[in-house]
Amino acid sequence: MRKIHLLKAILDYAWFVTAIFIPCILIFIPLLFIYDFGGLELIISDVSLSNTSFFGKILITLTLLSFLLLAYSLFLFRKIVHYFIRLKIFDTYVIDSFRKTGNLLIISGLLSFITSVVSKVYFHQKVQLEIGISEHLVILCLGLFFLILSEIFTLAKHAKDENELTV
Amino acid sequence: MGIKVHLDIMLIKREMKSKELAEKIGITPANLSILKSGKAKAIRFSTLEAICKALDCQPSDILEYTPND
Repeated sequence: MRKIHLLKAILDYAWFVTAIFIPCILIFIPLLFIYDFGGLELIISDVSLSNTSFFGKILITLTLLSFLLLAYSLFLFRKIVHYFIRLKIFDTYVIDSFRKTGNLLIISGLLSFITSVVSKVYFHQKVQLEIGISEHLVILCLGLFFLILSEIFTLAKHAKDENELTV
Repeated sequence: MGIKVHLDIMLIKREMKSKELAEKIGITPANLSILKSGKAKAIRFSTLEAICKALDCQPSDILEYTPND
């Protein structure tokens, strides 16, 4: 059980670091459309804010949104590990959280991939083909893995319930 | 489910209490209650054998199949 405590500690640290940025992002998104940042140069996923247009602002918002989705999926995964530590492994909450986390990761992965490609085309006028493991692909695969885990846990819960009702 | 459990009828016929039967066959009263109420999903042959031995009856005296609608 030491491994799960190590995982919990890493997730707690990651969540603590991520949580600091969440209120900042939530304040920053409306400000982006209201306030003129002028000479300030902000680079998020290859999108430069200094020469931004309305479309650029939309791209930044989408990138930040994908980060928020990732943060929420991290929060859910942290809760799942907490349930595991309390030995509530085949709980309905765990299954639902696995499914939610998977869906969030897939949406976040797709969103970050689309914004990355569009920003490269829009701001740098170049189409870049990346062969190999990109972060978007890893997030997508992780999302699908969580969805599969959710289905496996549903089957396991069913088997556990049947076993408990065998006299 | 199409299988009905008539354990309570057999207990009355044999004038035996649930707790006594549970002790004889070596299962918990809670599990016997699950079996009596028909909530059980499955029954082990060893449990069925023990029940038949304790109540001096056949499996057909305890279990009955009724087709679902």
